[in-house]
Amino acid sequence: MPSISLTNPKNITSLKFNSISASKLGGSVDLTKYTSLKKFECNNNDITEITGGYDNPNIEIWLVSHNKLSGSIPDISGMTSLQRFWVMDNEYTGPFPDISGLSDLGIINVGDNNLTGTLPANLLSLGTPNLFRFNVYQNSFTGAIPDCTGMNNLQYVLVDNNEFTDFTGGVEPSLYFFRAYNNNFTQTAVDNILQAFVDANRTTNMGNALINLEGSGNAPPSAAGIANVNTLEARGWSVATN
Amino acid sequence: MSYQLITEVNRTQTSDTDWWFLYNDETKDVLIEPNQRRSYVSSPHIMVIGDTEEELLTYIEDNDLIVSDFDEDEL
Repeated sequence: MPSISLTNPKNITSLKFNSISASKLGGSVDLTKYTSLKKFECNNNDITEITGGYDNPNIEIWLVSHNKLSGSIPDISGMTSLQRFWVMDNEYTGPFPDISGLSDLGIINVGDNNLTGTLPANLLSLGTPNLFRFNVYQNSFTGAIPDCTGMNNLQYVLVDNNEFTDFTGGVEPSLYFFRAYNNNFTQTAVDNILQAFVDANRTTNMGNALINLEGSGNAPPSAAGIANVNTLEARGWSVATN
Repeated sequence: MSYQLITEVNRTQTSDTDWWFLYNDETKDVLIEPNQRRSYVSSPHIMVIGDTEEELLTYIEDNDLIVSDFDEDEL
């Protein structure tokens, strides 16, 4: 397996090793000495381990999707400048990472892994007010999806293909793309989700506004839920349910 | 080709043998990608229902529709 070694890594602020061919990097990447690193991009490789970096407060961008990283997602609470955290399509197991206090975080994407357990009860309490994309699709999360009340920058929530059952709380008008098919939502949860979007009362920039609650496992809405579907459609939403 | 174009999408029902997708004719964005999930769909946009995934993909290509990867898009 080839390796790359730089003589003065402490001055490097950006590393980019995206693969666009069958030729991929594999094995372990050691970022311990890259103390000034702000951006690490290593998508579409066969990386199995990254050491260092997770406690680097300078890291802003962390893009390691489509690799072979496994075990639990490391503690990222020390990445205090983190803006974008992409680790989708790896082999991670264990719980959702603790993102509390990462106040610059705009995008988290842990989709298409083997993560389990529950998510935080609400996003606002995490102190991540700039979050606009929350992607946890295609894992095995259970319990409730988070209350999104007060998350005024949140635009995308992708929680499809998990084992979620519940939702209580609200959403804000900023949220316009909500993908939750193939879960185990109860009828109460489906109704609560539809009611939350009605209450948020988004009525402008409706072009691609979507609420997707269909697919195996999810309950159909009640009559009250269907009435809310009609209300949302009249406002310009596309809504899919069972 | 035997796909069905539905412009009045109001509690439109699909079975688990139908292939279908939903797109915005103004922006050309595909909102729900071709799939075989049983569903009721309400939308101001256009729904296409067909027998096979291939005919839907042909429709998408012929009409220059945009299949955005909402999983990975950067804004």
